[in-house]
Amino acid sequence: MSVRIVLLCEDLQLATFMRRFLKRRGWQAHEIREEIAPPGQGSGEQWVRERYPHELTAIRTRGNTALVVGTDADLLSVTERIASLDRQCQAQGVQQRTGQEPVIMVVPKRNIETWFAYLRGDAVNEGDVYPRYVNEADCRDDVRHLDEMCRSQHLRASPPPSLLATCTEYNKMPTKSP
Amino acid sequence: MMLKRLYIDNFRCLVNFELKLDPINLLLGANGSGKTSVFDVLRRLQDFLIGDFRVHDVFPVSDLTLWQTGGRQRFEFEVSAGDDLYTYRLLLERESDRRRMRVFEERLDLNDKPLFHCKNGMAQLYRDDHAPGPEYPFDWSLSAVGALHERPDNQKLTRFKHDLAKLIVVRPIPILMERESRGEQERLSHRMENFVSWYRHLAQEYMGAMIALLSELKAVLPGFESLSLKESGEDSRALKAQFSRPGGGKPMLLDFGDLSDGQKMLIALYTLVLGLKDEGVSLFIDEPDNFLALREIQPWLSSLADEVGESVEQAVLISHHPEIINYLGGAHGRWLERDAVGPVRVGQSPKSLPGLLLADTVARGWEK
Repeated sequence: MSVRIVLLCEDLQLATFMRRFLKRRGWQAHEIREEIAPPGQGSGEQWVRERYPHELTAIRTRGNTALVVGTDADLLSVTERIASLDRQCQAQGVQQRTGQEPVIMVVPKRNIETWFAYLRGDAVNEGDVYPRYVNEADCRDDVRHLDEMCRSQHLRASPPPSLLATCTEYNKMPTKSP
Repeated sequence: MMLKRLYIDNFRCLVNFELKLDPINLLLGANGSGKTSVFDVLRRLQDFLIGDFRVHDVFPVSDLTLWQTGGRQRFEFEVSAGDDLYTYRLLLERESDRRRMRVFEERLDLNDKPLFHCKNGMAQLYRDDHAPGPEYPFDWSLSAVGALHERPDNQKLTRFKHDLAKLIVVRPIPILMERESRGEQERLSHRMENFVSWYRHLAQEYMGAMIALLSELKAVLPGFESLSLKESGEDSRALKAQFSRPGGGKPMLLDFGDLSDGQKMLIALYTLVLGLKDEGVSLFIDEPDNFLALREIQPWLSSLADEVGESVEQAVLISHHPEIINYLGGAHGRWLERDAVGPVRVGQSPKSLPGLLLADTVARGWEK
């Protein structure tokens, strides 16, 4: 009955998207712990970056737990955003994640709304800004489309490169045991 | 249906008070800031409109704002149903003997066009095409909208009343939940005292939803296997929860009344979220976190959030719990504030200070 996945996210929309996706892949709500940056003053990206080494240390201590980090690339590249997380580990004396660890980086570029527009069937680029949902749960159809594409192992034409990168990352997610 | 706007004037601490709501919200604020009074008004309006209560029983004179001298009390709300927007207005006034309230004006509009208007004891009905219908005198202690029966030419008004029944305003208190049911009940009581009778209704009407509910309960209640209603007398049914025994053996069948408060609360909360599949209910839940263990709160909250827009049309919570404040307060918080014993206002959404979670900011009184 304990948590198997920690979601560390910069806002409620990213957390909702990832939680809904994980639930479609068989995980249950009580197995997922969401840690979401508080809105208001300060940057959600900074909050995630500063918290990341602590969560990484915690899942290593605990074992058998995955860490999913959700943060927008914004104007950086996906690689640069992940490197900023690695540098934060280095600064705090925490060993960077290895390729074998269940640490999954979900870094939409420009942000999660880019993916939503793609999943709705629009042609997108990662520089433009796309509209937000008023209610985070309204991403349910987008999650369903992504899940269907994952099951058929085929993304629709011209996916955002940041989504492709996350598909590769997702292979590190532990298998859901019954 | 979704409640989009509520206006209250001259009810307890709510004076010229307006609240606008989204599909999901958390009402925040200090004790005495009027959160529960808002829920009280909703429940009373529902009682008045579809519960056959007289106005002076639902809105007693004692609920007029203490420091206001006027004897008029005003309530307005807007609810959306699909693309339509209903606006209901109720103006009450103190009777000349000052002992009771009476209806001065009651009005229902759809998309700003009239469906019903009653003023000073004279009612004017409008047809679905908004053309004026019959005019007739009406008892000013009752809701004239509530008293109307369904007819072929008042389907829009009937739909409003039908949708209003989907508003569920509760403050669950497990110790008050009765052990057994003497009959099905479609409407939940305020503190969910009649939960077992309501569950009995759901089990009859929403069998598909019950399967999803039991599956979810299995995941969150250790050892839980199923719920069942067992005959306990003529027309009486007792709700039983089946749990597996540690190490195997015959399962234990426990009376609902013998469960812990936390277990009852979890069953009640998940039933609210999952038990009325496809009904599009609006849930207004006061302090759902009571009796829950820390690790039980977020999974329920995220299940609720996931159902908003599906089986649940709207969810509005009141809570002081850090888990709920941190999860919903920033993006969907409505901060109710009040100076000393003055009127309540809806302030700006609370903001956390850098380095602090929102609940920590609120705990220090630094949210403003």
